[in-house]
Amino acid sequence: MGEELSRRKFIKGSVLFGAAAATTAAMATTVGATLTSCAPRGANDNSGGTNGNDRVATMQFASGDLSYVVHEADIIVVGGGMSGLNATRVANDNGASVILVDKGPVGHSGNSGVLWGQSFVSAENNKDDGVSIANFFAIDCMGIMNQEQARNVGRAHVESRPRIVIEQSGNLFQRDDDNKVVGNDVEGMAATHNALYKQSAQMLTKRGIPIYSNMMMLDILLDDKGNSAGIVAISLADGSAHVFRGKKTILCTGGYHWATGKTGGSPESTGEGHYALLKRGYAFKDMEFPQYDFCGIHPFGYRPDKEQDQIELAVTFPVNGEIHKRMLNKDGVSYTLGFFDDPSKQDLSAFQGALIATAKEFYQNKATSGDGSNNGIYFNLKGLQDEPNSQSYPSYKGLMRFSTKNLNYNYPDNLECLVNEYSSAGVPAQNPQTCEHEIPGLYPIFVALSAGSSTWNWGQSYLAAKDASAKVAEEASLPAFSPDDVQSALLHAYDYLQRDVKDGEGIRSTEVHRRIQRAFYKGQDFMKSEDGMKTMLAELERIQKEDLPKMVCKDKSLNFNRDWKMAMEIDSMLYCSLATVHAAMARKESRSPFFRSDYPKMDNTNFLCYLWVSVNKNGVWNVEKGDVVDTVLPRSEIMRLLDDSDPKYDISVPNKSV
Amino acid sequence: MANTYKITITHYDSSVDLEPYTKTYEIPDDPDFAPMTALKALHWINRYHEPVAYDYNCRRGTCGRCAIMIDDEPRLACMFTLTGNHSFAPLSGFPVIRDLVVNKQEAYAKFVVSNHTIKTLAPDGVLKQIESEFWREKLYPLNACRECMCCYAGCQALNIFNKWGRFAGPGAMQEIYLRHIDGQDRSNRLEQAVFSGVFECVQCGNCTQYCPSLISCSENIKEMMDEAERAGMKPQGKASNYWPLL
Repeated sequence: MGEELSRRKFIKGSVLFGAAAATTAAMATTVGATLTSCAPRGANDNSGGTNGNDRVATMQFASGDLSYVVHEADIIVVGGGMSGLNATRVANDNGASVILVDKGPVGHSGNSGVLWGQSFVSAENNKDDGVSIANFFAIDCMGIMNQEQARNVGRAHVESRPRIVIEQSGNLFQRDDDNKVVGNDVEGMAATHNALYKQSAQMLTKRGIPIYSNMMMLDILLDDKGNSAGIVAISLADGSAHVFRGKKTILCTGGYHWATGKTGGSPESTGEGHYALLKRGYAFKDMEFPQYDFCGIHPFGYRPDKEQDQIELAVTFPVNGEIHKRMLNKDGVSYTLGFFDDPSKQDLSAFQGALIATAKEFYQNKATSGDGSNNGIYFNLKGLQDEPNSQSYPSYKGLMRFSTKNLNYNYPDNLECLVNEYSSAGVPAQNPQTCEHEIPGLYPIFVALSAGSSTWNWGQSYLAAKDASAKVAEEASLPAFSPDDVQSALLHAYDYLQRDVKDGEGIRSTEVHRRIQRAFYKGQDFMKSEDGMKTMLAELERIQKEDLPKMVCKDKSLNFNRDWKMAMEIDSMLYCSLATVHAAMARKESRSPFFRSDYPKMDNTNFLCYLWVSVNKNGVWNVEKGDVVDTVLPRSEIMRLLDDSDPKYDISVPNKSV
Repeated sequence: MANTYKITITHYDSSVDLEPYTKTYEIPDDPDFAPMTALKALHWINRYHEPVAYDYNCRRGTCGRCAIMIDDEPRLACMFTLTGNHSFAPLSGFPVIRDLVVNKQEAYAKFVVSNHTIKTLAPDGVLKQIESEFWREKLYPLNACRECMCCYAGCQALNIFNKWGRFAGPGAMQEIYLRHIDGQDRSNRLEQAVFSGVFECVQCGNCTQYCPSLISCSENIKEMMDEAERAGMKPQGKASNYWPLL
């Protein structure tokens, strides 16, 4: 075995790929130079159902002759998680032709594969036109929520009735002792459990919507006026190249939390959507705010502080309802009770309150290991399965019952859990009514902040798909993308396969991947500090400068090549990490879920604001403050309700013992 | 030196290899990684030995993507603890994309045509009540199916008696069964089960044995067979080869 063989493997793979593409080309319409003038079928066939027009563009370029298949529809949805599935359904309901592109197998990909069977927080019972929803988010996101968007999310839930739709599509939510769906309806928001994405995926497949699984987006495409024109992607299954051309593109690419290293979330969540906008200079807010959960190290995970840190965590324990009472510090002491037993603290959800209480324990060095890299808490599992009506029972019961039986593993009474990012926050500026981006025709659906990502995703994807499908009916032709843009994106991707290892100098993409993760979790752990973040930034810049040019794929195949996939993910992981650390360094306060040991207090005067982070063409990062959109709950009222002089928000003040 | 495990993996890359071949790798039994699952072993081999194509996502039995044959039995890699030396091969009965990754489309299509996602003629106006114990004991376990396809890989009717063409398979049968019992469905799911080949099941019990979500697949199929027989819906003699899957 040697490089020669690897090289030959790649060449043979390339030849096969070319042959496959040529065969398809023979059967499909040859487009060539007439690509942009060709009357798009999607334009006059909006009947929905059977659509998606596949063609092979057989253009020749001096820089290379990479073939790619062009698929056309009114709307391209990128990502098959909750947002993507919902957007696809809504667009199809509204009569637009739609294609769903998913990085993994649809219904099992990204965080939707990780989280299915878990909670869905619906706002459909809201009675005051979204006002109480906006109020809830404003307070629970510690003042930083865009209230206009939150209100529209609430309105979208009332209009689209997610729980009804989800059950109608074959799902069965958890029922309580009164035989009703589990969920305490607080101000029109109710957490219901056991929502599954497999049903949605089956339903869309049944409808005949073209779904492309294992298809990784490389970049978005724009027309010459700067409008969205679709995306360019590579099939992870066989390495073939594809362009998805549509009048509107809904980006539901999920978070970038895999870059954070310590995560119970999906390895597929590497932020391609964020990267496509970041690299074009668009600013993001909320990047510094993590989305935390508590994940057990055993039986599925590894300890991230080990020499061979594989950094895989699993078994999530979402802190809903009364579950927070099961959280213990390293001395086995339950620490959240004092936080919640004070009625004045009921403004915050159990989850946000539990995070602040946990931060206080960390500050007092009461976390399980206390070595800075592997801080955790204990989660008391005793008797958890005997509480069938507890929220999230399905996920606990499933995980514990299945793993006990299959792995022959007995859970300890107190399971060590790490605070980790199950998902990530970070959104660009967008129209609060339609979610459309500054790039016309592009709808990025990313999670903002830590509260209710299911609520957010459902509402935003509904708004986007509704707007997009209304607009495409008015538009006659598909936008023209630039074939040069496609070629350069593809050349960049295929180049990773052609690079060769020279005298042991090459660094395998999987290792570069891990280096970014390691830098991230060491600099952006639950308790952050200036020093840690500076180290993280320096390491990321070093990786960008030194490691990236040497990055190679040990695996050269076009077929299901993990090395190649990880190489193609590097840019987005790096950009998202850099955006995060720049924003985090600028936020010199502690505002849950963002905690700093060097700034333990919340500081409303200086930091009750957004931090917009962006990078210019020269690679220089910039962070700017922006006013909170407070159209529902005025800033003065936020400052009164979230009083930063209150010791409960100061993580240097210990939890009250009860 | 700690104990080691020897893992034999079946490799096959259709773009390079004429035939599948096997290779054996040694991995340490590191107590810090305990319990050492098959998925952790794959991570180890891919990182420290050589690239292996394998699919995974959640690491905890919820996404259903890491199903492979371990010692000739279909298992989720994340839900299998190594006990000694083992062989890993792609899920049997499915076309191999590469190494341990297979194309599950044919089986997935059977899930889709089970019409599991179409419940009622008219949309529900409200969320209906379901008895909580019934939900917990019967419906929830069925909903825990991960579409991992372990039951398809283990099914004797499909793979030994070659009934892919006229048996919806154990997984899709569970979906039909769920709709049959959930009390909310408006169509005749028993009839659907018969037309989907419920009597082709040979009751080998493998689906129940291999289901990582502990669904009583085989028993549920038997229940529908018995019920259909009582209703006079059992075909006389050999079932027709030409029944369409509904």
